[in-house]
Amino acid sequence: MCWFINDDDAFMEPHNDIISTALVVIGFVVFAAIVSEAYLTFDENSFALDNYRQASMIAKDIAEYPGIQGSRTDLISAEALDMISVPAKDREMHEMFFHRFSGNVDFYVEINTNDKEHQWMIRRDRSNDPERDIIAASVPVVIELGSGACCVPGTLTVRIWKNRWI
Amino acid sequence: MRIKEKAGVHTHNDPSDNGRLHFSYDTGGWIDLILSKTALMIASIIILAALYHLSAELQHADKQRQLDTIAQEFRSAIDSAGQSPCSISSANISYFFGTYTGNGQFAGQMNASVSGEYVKISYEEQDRALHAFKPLAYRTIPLNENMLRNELLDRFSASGEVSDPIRQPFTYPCVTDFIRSLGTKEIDLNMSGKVHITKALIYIQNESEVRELEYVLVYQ
Repeated sequence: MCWFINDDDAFMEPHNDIISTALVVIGFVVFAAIVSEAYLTFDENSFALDNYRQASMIAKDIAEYPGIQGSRTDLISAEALDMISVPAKDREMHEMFFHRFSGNVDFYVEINTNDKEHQWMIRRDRSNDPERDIIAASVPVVIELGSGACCVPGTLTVRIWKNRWI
Repeated sequence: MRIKEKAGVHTHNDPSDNGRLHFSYDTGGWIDLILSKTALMIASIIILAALYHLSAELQHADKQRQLDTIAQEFRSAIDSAGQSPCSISSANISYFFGTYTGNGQFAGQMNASVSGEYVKISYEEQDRALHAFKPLAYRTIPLNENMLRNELLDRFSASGEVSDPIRQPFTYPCVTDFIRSLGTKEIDLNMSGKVHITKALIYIQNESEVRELEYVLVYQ
């Protein structure tokens, strides 16, 4: 440090401008990188929030769908789920389940009991790209097993794949 | 500052080499000074241009984000109508873009359009156009109910209402394909006017079974 301060040869003096300019350029590049990274993160989070709202809305809608209701409106029938879950036994019912939803929103539904003993997956026939991002939303439901003798708590989860053209 | 002279004496008689020699054997440091200052000025100009460009890009990104928000709110209104049962009032919505038109940041031309698959908000200014697309969750048709019933009457000789369901020989896939084709066309909306969002039910009778198809209608 002392050598640098007491240097009288002025070897560095003509290049001070270049050094300071290089520092400014590096600082600007770092600043631009931070700003663009912050924007990309914000954009990603806002996309996730938008799609979470949509997934949450679809999950609530499916939880109240009359086609899978049990003996009461607040129950989901396990028998109905057996008919439309993969592999679908009742093609017509499966088709009607997805009919209301636009083909642009690519999603599948997972329903499981909290004790993990029963699990159903309802998905469209077309194959999906597993590499795309997924946004999921869940709602608590009550599943009616058998003929109404046994009701167990569970979770209905809707998983939306990121749309290809957005 | 003075740079030490290099050792040795050089004699040159060719006058064309004078400039180069002056440059090579300048001991005053002026060339060095001029070069470094020129480089500094060029670098400053590049940095200022980059800053200006970054600022302009951020403004465009901000506008794009606002367009996304407008499209998102419109999409939410259509989806909330799709989610509601037909019988309740939330399935009939009057939507206004009024809060966005005339906004200071959007001095140019802003357009909204809807199709059976998505909503689109576009904005044009000078030589640049921005677009925001949002896919719809529920099946949507950009027609009013009368137009839809007339289309069904023309095609299936039945309006699809509960009193006049679509019957054989028209099958369920045949009806859904036709309705899907009605939603493929993009309809422009007047952003200063009211947009009606309602829900329509179309009934299809197959022998003793009657199926109910739900569609969201968006029109002005």
